Amino acid sequence: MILRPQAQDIKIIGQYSGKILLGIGMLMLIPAAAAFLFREVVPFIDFVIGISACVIAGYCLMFICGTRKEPTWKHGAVIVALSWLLAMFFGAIPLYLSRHWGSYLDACFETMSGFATTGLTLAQDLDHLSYAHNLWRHLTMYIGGQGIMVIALIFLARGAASALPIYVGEARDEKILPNVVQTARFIWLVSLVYLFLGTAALFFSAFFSGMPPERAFLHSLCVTMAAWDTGGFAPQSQNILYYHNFWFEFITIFLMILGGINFSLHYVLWSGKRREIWRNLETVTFSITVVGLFALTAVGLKAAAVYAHPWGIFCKGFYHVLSAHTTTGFMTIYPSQFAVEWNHLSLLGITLCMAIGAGACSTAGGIKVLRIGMLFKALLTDVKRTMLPRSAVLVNKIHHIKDIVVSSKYLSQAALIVFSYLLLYLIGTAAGILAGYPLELALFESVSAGANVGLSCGITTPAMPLALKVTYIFQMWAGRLEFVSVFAFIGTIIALVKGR
Amino acid sequence: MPDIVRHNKILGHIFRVILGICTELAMALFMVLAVFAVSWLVAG
Repeated sequence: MILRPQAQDIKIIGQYSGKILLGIGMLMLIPAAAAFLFREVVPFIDFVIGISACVIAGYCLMFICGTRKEPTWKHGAVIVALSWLLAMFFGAIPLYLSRHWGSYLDACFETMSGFATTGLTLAQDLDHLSYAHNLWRHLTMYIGGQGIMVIALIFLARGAASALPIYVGEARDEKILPNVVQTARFIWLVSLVYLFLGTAALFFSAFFSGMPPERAFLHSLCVTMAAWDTGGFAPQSQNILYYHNFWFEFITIFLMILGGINFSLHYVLWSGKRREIWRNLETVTFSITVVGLFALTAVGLKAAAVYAHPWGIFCKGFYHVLSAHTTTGFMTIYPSQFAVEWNHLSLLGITLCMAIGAGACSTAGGIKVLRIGMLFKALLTDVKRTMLPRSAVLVNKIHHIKDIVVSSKYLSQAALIVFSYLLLYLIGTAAGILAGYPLELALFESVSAGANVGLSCGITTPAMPLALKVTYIFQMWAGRLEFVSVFAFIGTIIALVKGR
Repeated sequence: MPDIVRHNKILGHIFRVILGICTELAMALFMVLAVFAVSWLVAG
């Protein structure tokens, strides 16, 4: 028997979702201020409309659903999933009003792609988009990467008790500090430090390459937000290829790697325990998979004879392997080159990188290297067990911040998430094949959407079928939230309709 | 760690953060160099 949620449950969910919506409205003040500063009158009006919609809807929700009860675990998951959808619908308003997106659905696709740090874009004539709208696109990535809920917790949570279910619901299962609000603050501290360092480094690179200072600053800020948050949007339609600048590529490589590091690891390293970086299962697995999958891609590129010199293979191959592995999605080639010039082996290398992803509790998406490392270690332990006498006692232990004995409960949870990701990739691939695309390209684009990467082989365009756009939106949403919140949300909807 | 940093709580904290950032950058550089070596092995 399914139990229908009570009015009190709906009130708690509505109350917190209203608060999040208010927060989204407040964040729109930043691009609105940019529009005011750069004298972009029409974009300024677009953002005033967007802010008004968020504030009115947010206050209405909070007024109708007025309650002082705290959310439980069940509420937290539903609040997160619903708030992400609301953020998509309301965040898309200024983008749609700019007329650079063909339909409201396209604008929603862009916003979800931003919040989920994917980087797939349906923008038309991106090169002539206003500064304010471009800043909003990148800001959605910066907010989504750290977590919409993480920023909300800093300002809106009444206490740590009410904050924990919401924090965990956003696919963040690691508490860096004992208090979840302090954890959220630390996540933002690290992000702001790297935003400052990255923007400064890219600014000098762009400025000394001849870009005007105002433009250099905005481009550096936007690219840093996208690189650190492993997002993949860029202010120009040619992505990072637009800059034709070695230092721009070099700096973004570092930002992508740093963005793919677990926030717990950042905390430990910043606290003085620097040896952790060489012992941590996540960094070890990440290093091995990056080097291994790059070798696979390089063999493919060599066989395809796309780049005549090893330097070309290193520059193009490594940049895209890293961009895929950290789930960033920056590109220094045209999307059609993946389909036309790169062979099956090199595409397989990139697809595997995208599927695996980077650090858990980082800004990256995908299965996550910690789960891959944990499952591989469990496999090794099982192999050892079969080779040793029956009486031998073997403990499956990993090192991640501290030594952890991996129980079968941990393993089954990791396997379940891996299975869910594979199913998600399969759903998108099937949708791509049904839309008439070849298997390898459909798989590539589906994994890119599901793992929140943003690399494209040319399928994601404004002209792609509507059903495929909706499928990719679902993949980005479910992949970013790591399923549990999405399942809880769908379960609540079913309980509302069918429950007693 | 220099004495002035060791005896000042705030400076000590900033020093540790800078060293932490340097460690992260060193790890990233190590990865870049490893891949560079592999690219010459495979395609050179």
